Amino acid sequence: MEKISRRNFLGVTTKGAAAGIVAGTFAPTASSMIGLGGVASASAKVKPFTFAVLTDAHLYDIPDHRFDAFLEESVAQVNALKPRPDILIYAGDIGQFGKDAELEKGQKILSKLKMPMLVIPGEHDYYLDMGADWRKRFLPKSKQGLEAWSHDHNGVHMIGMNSILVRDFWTDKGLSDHDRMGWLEELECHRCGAWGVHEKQLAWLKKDVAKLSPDTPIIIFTHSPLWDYYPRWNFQTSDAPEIRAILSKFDKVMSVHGHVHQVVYNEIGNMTSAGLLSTSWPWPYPPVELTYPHIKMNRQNPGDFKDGMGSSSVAVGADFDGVMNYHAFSADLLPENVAAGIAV
Amino acid sequence: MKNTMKNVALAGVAAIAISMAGSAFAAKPIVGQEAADQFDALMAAVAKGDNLWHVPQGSNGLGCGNCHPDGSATQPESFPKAHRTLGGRVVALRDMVQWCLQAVSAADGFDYGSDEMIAMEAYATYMNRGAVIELGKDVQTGAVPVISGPGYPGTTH
Ligand code: HEC
Ligand SMILES: [Fe+2]
Ligand SMILES: [Fe+2]
Repeated sequence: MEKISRRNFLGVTTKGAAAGIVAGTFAPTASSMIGLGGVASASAKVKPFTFAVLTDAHLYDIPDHRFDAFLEESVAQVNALKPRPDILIYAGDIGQFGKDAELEKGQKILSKLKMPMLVIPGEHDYYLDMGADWRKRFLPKSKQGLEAWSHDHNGVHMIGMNSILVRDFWTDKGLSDHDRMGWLEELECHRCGAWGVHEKQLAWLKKDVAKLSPDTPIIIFTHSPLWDYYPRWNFQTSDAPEIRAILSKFDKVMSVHGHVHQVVYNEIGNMTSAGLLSTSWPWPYPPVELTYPHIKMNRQNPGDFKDGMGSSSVAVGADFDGVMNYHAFSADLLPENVAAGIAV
Repeated sequence: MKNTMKNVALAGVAAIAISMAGSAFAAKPIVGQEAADQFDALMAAVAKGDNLWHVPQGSNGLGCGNCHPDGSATQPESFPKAHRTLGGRVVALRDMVQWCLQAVSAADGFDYGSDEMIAMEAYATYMNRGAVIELGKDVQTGAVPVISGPGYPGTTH
């Protein structure tokens, strides 16, 4: 019973589930089942494991688009990792224009994953219908209405939140759904404003971690960074300070985020923070000084359409030490120190 | 087009000749309404470029803005330069614009000298204004600090 609800929660129910959540070829393996159904332990001891992260596929509703193949390749990459990751988190922007056809295509490709998947939304998944299709396909039934989840695995408390909520800028202006999505589709949107998780999710987060002891290992997944990297491109989360405050009681918090389409690292207080490779296109570094400038990717070759992208995985150790490994599609993207894996 | 360029070149020669002859200006500086009109015309081209930049130009849906937000990583200040993407030839900014249009975005491309091509160059260059001209610069690209909001010419974006 517990197992079933937990598997529902993971979105790895059998094919054709009414909720339409990610279904497919998932075959539970011994390692992927470990910890399922567990509760967060008060001890900081972690049973070492690996998780994978994919993000920013930006699939188009165009047949045989090259981004389809990139997502397929990233799925093959993480399926082939040794040891196989116990779980995969998809960090948002599966689609480009929030169309159900894009999300459907993504769901189909992601169903080839050989591990369970948890998903959070990106702005490109969301603003055509305010997340309706995304919720239908990627949010477990039990979570409808919230778009935030937590999941305990091998002693780690994992949290996922929808960080791309903007205040309504469309109703007053009488913009259509299509126009609203069109605005959000542009990174440098002049109208959208800073996005965040907003009050409801903050209240949920407070409650979710209230009973956890400070030595509980925490990993939080959001689409956007939980620090002010480059607000102009929404490389930020407006209520990140509140999130960090709620999580400040923990010894260590690992934050992993999409949206930036690049290797980037930061630390604030007890939080380490790492950005992810996309599977669509890379972004240039914003014109700001980084605290950890040596954790970057190299310039891309525009003639190599796969350059600048890939998948990522994190090896979590017994002391909640983590190593982020970037798996680039093309050689030479990563400087040696990054290719060797970065401590997170 | 060629003729215009020739005229400009000739005017340049005349200007040098006159200034060498001791006159401060070959023509009066452009001021007042004429200067304002010229600036408006330029900003209209930038705005047109902004619009073209942010919509798909070809069959794969990819607009320049997908990968070059705020005109970043186009480095107008580094052109002309020898470009590995174009076989090491020395090329102008418009050659890379054209290459990205055709190869990356699967578009037909714009005729050189067309309003569209000039608008694309105007947008990219305008967004990178203030960058130091450094022909051949070949470094890890970054974005430019964008001076937007107040003072940024009103475009549809
Ligand atoms: C899928 C992503 C992508 C798209 C779409 C794209 N480009 Fe590029 N472009 C790149 C990459 C990557 C580079 C190499 C950046 C670097 O040198 O660091 C590049 C380089 C360039 C350069 C040369 C910069 C230099 O210094 O060599 C120009 C100019 C340019 N692009 C213009 C455009 C224009 C105009 C469009 C729209 C038609 C466009 N690009 C669309 C990815 C893209
Ligand atoms: Fe993205
Ligand atoms: Fe995004």
